[in-house]
Amino acid sequence: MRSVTADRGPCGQVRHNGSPTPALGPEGPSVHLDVVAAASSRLEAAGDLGALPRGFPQVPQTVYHQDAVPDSMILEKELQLYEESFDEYREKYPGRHLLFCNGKFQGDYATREEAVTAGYRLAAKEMLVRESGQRTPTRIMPSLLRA
Amino acid sequence: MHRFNFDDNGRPVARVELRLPPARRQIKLQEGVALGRETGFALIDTGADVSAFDQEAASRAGITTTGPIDLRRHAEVGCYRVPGYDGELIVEGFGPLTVTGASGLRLAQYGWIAILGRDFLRNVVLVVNGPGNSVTLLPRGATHGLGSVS
Repeated sequence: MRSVTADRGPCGQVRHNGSPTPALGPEGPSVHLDVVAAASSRLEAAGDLGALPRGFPQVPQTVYHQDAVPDSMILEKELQLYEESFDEYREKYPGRHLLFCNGKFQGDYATREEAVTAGYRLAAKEMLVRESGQRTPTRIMPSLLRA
Repeated sequence: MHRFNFDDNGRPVARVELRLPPARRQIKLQEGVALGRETGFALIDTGADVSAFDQEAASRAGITTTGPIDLRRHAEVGCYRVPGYDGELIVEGFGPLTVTGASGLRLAQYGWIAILGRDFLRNVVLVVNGPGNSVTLLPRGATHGLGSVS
């Protein structure tokens, strides 16, 4: 592997020597790190970092994605049952996996696998399986999907 | 080693089968439910933490939703609610992967039946060859031109 060394150019920028990318010029690429650092310092001083844009919703909102099921609430009744007695389930079934389907609580299981399989045995069209004390999981959306 | 091509939009895809895990498949078959083989392409997405299923394909494979999942974008406060699924993905050349809490999305419009996230990728070596228009997946422990994989 070629080693890359750096020194300061006439404007204080970092200049890399021995760059393996000659297309960027005979002296190799130069990066104006000082410009970026100065801009960051100004933002920090102004307290702008981490602030939400004006008009941005401050309270999380849940909507149904157009690439998902938009026409009906998913497991509305089962979620309501779980949320209504959330603390009770957490204390009564610590570490257990809870199964809700057909509009009622069906039981607690040692593993998620067991709970889901039990739901299939009950011929549930849809089921809610939650580890006791856990809320609806949140994940990052694939970037190519439309918002 | 399994080599796949990019799709027409230049995205890396692999051939997969989506199905119920054997124990649940047996339950469905005992009920007399006919289950088809859902095969097609899956996007290889290094940015996805967990794999995702196409809702229609999951339904045809007999996979039942196991509760909602909230999806959010970076730098957004709100969430999009989608159904979650527990199922099994078989990538061509690899053993079955049990996926827990896969997001249910409408992926057929993109030509895919699933998205392969890092729950699958953490067990393989992914080599993207842009000029060669190919994607290679190697199992853990395999060797290739870049050295041994462990």
